[in-house]
Amino acid sequence: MNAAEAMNLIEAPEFCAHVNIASSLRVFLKVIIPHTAIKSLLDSMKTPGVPEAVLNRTLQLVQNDPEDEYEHPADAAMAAYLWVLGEAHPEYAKIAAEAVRSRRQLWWSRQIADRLMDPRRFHSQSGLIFYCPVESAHPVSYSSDAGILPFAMALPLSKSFWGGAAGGRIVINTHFDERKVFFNRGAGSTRQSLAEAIT
Amino acid sequence: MAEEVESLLLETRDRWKIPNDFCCERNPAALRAARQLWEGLFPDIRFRSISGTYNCVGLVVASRRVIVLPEHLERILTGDGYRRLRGPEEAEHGDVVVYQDEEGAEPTHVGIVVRKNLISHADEDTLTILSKWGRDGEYEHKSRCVPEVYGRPTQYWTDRRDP
Repeated sequence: MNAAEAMNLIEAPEFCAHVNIASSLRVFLKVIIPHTAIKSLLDSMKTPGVPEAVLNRTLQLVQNDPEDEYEHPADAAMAAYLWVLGEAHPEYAKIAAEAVRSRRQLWWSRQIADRLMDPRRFHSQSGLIFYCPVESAHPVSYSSDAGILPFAMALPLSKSFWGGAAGGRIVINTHFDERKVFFNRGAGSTRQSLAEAIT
Repeated sequence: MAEEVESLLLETRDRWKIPNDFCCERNPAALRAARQLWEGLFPDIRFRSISGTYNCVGLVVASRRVIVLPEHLERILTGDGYRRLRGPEEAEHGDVVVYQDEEGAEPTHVGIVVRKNLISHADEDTLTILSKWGRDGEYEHKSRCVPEVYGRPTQYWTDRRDP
């Protein structure tokens, strides 16, 4: 099954009926994770262009207005896409989650988006620096769920820099490893915008 | 800015505020597809109603008004004065049956006993349950006749009093 076929199945009424058997997010995930279409789509996420297609489709579906008072007809599909993106491409998942959280009349997709955006619930234990000034006197803003990492410039920075940053407004109570990823043992700290961080 | 999910003011008898979510209805076409799917897979179940606005816990503890997460079920039953029975043999109509999967941590599903078959063979499923299958239909079914993801009935609770 290729990605397009998997996405067709995920957006079919049968998928929606099948996954709405769940009464909690834990059971919802238990239903979707072993689903053939979900497994196929997750496998396809390594193929160039597929993550972008899933993100674009999610953003497209979000824009569709639900009928009157009814739930968004693609709620289950968007939830599935968010989960797949979260597993395979956290940066795209965050973009999609932000879009989903801005809409009403959603249930499962809203819950998965909340988990993706809320480190206290997501407990990812990892974070990516997304702003890193070279002067150690500056505060550092970071995300503990997902984020953009625009700095090759982080590599030459020493651990002592991070100690200095820890005395600033945002505490980074962890170490910096070779993969440029911070393991955020303080998962749950509120992510601040760059503007908030530097004022 | 994220939209806030609405809820209703609900409390247990011991005044614990029950976390709940007020949820909008699912599209009628989606509900029809759900009924068709589950009645096809379980021909012996008996349909009562279908709505996406409440779940199994909402049926049992909130009069079908809202969605209540299964993780709160034990706290609610305890707060409402329910006590746990030793097994299905002690359960009667009106009692509550709780389902758990192999992980067993929190309930996956809950229903109300509506009938008990008093003449039965050993190991026969004697209890008929009314329960809400997720955000799909409300069905009458034998206690073990549920989607696999729910696991099996593991706990029986009652609020019966007999002074």
